[in-house]
Amino acid sequence: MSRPPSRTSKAPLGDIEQRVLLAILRLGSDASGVPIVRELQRHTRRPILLPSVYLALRRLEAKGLLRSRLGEPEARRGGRARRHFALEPAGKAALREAQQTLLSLWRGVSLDES
Amino acid sequence: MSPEPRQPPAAALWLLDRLLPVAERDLVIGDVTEMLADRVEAGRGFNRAWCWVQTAALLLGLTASRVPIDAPQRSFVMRLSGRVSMTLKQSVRRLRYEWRYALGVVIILGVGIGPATTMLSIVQRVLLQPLAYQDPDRLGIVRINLGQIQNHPGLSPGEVIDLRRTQGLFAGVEAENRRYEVTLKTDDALVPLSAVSITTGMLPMLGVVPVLGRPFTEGDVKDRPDAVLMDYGTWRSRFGGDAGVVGRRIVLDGNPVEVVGILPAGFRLTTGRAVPEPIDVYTPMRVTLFRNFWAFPTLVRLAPGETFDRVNAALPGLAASLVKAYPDAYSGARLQFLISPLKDDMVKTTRPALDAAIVGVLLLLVIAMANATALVIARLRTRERDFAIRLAVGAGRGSLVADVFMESALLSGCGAILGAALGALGLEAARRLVPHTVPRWDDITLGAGVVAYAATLALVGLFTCGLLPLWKASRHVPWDSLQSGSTRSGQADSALSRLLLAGAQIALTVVLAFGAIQLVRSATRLSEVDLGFDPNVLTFRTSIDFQRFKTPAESTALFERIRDRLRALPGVEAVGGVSHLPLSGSVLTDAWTTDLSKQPGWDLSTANYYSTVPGYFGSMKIPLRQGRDFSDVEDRTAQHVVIVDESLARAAFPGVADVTGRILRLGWGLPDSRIVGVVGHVRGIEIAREVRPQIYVPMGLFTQNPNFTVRASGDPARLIGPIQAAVKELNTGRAVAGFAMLTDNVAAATSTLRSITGLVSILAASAALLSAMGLYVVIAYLLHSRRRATAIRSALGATPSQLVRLHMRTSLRVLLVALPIGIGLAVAGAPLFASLVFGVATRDPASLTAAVVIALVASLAGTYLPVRRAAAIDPVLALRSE
Repeated sequence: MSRPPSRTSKAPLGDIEQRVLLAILRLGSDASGVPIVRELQRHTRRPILLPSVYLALRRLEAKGLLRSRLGEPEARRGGRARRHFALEPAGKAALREAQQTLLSLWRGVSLDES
Repeated sequence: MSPEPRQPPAAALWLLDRLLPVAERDLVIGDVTEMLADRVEAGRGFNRAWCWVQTAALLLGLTASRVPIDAPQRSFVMRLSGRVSMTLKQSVRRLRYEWRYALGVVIILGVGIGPATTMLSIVQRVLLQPLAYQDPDRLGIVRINLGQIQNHPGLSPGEVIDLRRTQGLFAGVEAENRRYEVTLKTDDALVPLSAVSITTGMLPMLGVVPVLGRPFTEGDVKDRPDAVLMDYGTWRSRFGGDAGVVGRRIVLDGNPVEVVGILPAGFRLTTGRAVPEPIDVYTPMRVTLFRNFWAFPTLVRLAPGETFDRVNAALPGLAASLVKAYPDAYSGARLQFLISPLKDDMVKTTRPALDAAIVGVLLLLVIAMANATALVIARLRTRERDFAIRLAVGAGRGSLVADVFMESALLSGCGAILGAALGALGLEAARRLVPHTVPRWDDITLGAGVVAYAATLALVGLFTCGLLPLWKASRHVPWDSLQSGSTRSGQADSALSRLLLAGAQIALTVVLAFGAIQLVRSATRLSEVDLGFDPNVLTFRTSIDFQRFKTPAESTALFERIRDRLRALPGVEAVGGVSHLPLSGSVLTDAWTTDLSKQPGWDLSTANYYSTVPGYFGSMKIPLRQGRDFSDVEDRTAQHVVIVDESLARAAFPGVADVTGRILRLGWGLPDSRIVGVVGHVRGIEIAREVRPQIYVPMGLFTQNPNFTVRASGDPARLIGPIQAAVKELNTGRAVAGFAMLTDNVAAATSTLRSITGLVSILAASAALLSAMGLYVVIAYLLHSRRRATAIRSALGATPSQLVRLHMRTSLRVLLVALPIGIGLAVAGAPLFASLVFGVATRDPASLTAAVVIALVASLAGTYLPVRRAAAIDPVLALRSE
């Protein structure tokens, strides 16, 4: 089941939103709840608060930056279906914009010199 | 430990399934289940706890968030919480606008909840909290009835052994001896300590284990004390909590004794007294088959499966066989053993006062609740038009009910906070004011209980002030309130429910006022009782070193030397000494007779026996009715002389004017003695009544450790130093202990009645004030709703006094019903507290009349003020405002 985007936003990505989008990008077709959380944990090396991930997913989907579809029920998940996430073009555009903002901010500065 | 779960706990799953938005359920629950499986496979622990933490975080994070998900999928919790928060906001706004009303209700509830919270906390500590022993409900204390002696808490050692020999009744029978004083010699001082001997099985039976060292063993029992267990507080204060004390020898009364252990902090031995005396050291003792000295308080632990009723039913047989087997000891008197639960025995003297206090605070609580409810209802009437408009434009009835309920919840919540604060203050005050005759008074501390009680009472408040208005709000739709004011304002509003509430308050006020008046009169009567002595006396104790003062003559001479030395101190008027001070709680009792052919036995009349140092009667201002005091020579040479009180003289020699020279046969193995004087009776056991006549013998005849009585002019405290110096010089090696004024004993004996009187008086005054306020609110509201009718009457020529009479009638009708009910309740409840009342009849008509007058005055004051204002109405203004 894929829900139509309720609204799209031009507002810049929040920190956790950006990370979740990047995790989905890295995971490709494997992107679903637990792998996303694990990917985030692997890179931040810190425990992740589950509600913040789900809220980010909720927000990103509402903004039309990603889409999701339901998979098959799995025994390992207590008979619950897995939800797969994938980036919408708007999501890729938002990531690109965030990346460029950061890169341009970093250009010409170094932490060592200041 | 249970195996690690593969599935999240069922309750967590249920919660998540119920509360999460539909769109996210499979995602979230599936992920949590999958992660749990990963954790279990990775061999990680605390998985159940992890599940619950995640569940809580997810519920908090995902249900309360405002991040949009599609509207139809908003969870029930979200919709409910949104509605609750909106109702809450509206209620807060309304109450803030009508802050005087809100403050009034909160204060009334707080005034009701506060004292109730305090008293419930006290009752919980004093009456309900189990004793700090193992399985304390199975512990009992043995009291005996023997001839004229009733309810005596001490057994003779032989009887302790008899009880131990019974089959299957007891798992333990252990005794203590009476408290005595020892002197601890330290490097630089003599320290008075209190000691008590206990059988070696006592502490194991109570389940008390020393925190350091070991308990007593049979091997510790020697002829002279050789081993002691030390009180925790004494260990901390006297030895700085030094663990090295255990196993070391300390010098007590000149003998080195080993400290074998330290008892747990707070340990107290409860044996027959409401408040156990503080004990510094415990020594081991063995009971022997001795059978003529009933001075061993005895505790029992019931055998498994036995009950107190069954044990008590089994003991008369034992008692009868003992009386038959030992005719000398019991002299054919009736013997009865009574075993009662230890805690019941401890609290039985305080229970009537606490019961009265609880009834008092609960009555006040009911009055406050009724009062607050009446206020809430009265205000509800002013909101009728608002409700009708909301219903008319389509509001659900549920939303109105929720509205009323939320306001009540807010008000009673604030009332609970105020009540808990007042309760905590009250408890702090109580800690200082509670008489030290109340069991476990030092346990009364501020705890979570205060908050729990306040919260519980607030819940009760919520239901009373919430439900009745709720019912009213949901019952009828006040459509008529939509009509213009002028068409409805002529109608009479019966306001029945509020009048009922006001009436209930008046009735309960009568009850409380009656109780307060009875107690005040009792306390006054008690303070007017002639004690038979003047308690303005400084007292202290010192023990005899029997190794130095081997004979009675030697110790008697020592007492006289101390007395004479003290007499020489500046400001001292008179000095004497006595074995047992009046109202100190300890006394020796035995039989006496004038029939010289009989042996004194328990079938004869009994008296209290005192040994005196000559000069005692003068120092206590005990009046001499006939004859004279003992002379020093009589004392030192142990002459067979005796002084009796007037009640014994009357009973022994009825109709004889002068009993001096007559011979009396005494108990305690004392010789037949000649009466040399008759003194006034002293209220030595209870202030309220003469318990037993009194017999005084010279110290030389019956040597015991004396309490010295010093009457002095000026501040007695300045004498303490000189007295210590004088006694130390004469009685070397023994400390001086227990400096106190005898007025303290008198104050302690009346303290329970005085504090309960104070409390109930305050409660009654609050009740009268609250019920006056309650009536004021109801009447004022009634008159407001009738102001049009009043204005028309006034315009037609009714005088203000006619109007006042007219409106007073409503109040009088309420009083006509409420006062008889109040009188009925007071009369019916009076016998419950008969034991507190002294010198006035249980149902004293004068007190009842005064109580009615108080309630009457309060209600008339509550009525007259609004009525007068209504009668002074300007008809033109009143009619124009419609």
